[in-house]
Amino acid sequence: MNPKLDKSKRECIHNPELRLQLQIIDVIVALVFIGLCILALANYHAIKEAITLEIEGYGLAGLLVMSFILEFVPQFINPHWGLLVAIAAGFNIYLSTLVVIIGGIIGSLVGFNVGQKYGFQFICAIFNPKTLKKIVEGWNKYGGIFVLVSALTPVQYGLLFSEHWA
Amino acid sequence: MSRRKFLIWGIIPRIISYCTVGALAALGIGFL
Repeated sequence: MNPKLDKSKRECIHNPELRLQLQIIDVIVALVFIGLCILALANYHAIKEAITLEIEGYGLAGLLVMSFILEFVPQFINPHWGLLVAIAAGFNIYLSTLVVIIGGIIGSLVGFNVGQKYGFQFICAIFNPKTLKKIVEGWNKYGGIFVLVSALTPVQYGLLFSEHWA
Repeated sequence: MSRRKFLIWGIIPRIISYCTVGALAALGIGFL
């Protein structure tokens, strides 16, 4: 067992009032996220155009920042689109790919560290101990597969291709 | 999840994924 997880378990505070407040905030955040996803779908062309303009305007530095942000913040669009735009805009293929890889790795690692530091306390406050135990067991067993699928998720390709098929 | 497990399951597939997209885009530009 990971010693950090054990330490987090000791720090776990089961406060029903706090849990209720966090659940309300969670529902609000989920609704905002769903709203943003709908907005992103509705304004898909505008967002693509904005990303294209940013990459063309700021060059590889913009690509680096964009890939960092898109990997750090869990959301709808992956940095692959930025890479495609950069290559289509005439940037060096090897440099663009390298910059997106560096930005993506840094963003993923920062996100991982934030989750490792605050994630357990957060879900600890939201779920009751029984559910929490199931989540931790499931995550320890299948977590690698979830992370792998999220790294290779074909959502963005599906959107890209469905747009061309439409 | 340990950092090592995250590196294996999260970072390496991402690198492969970006390299694949870059290679496909390069091939696409080559064909065009």
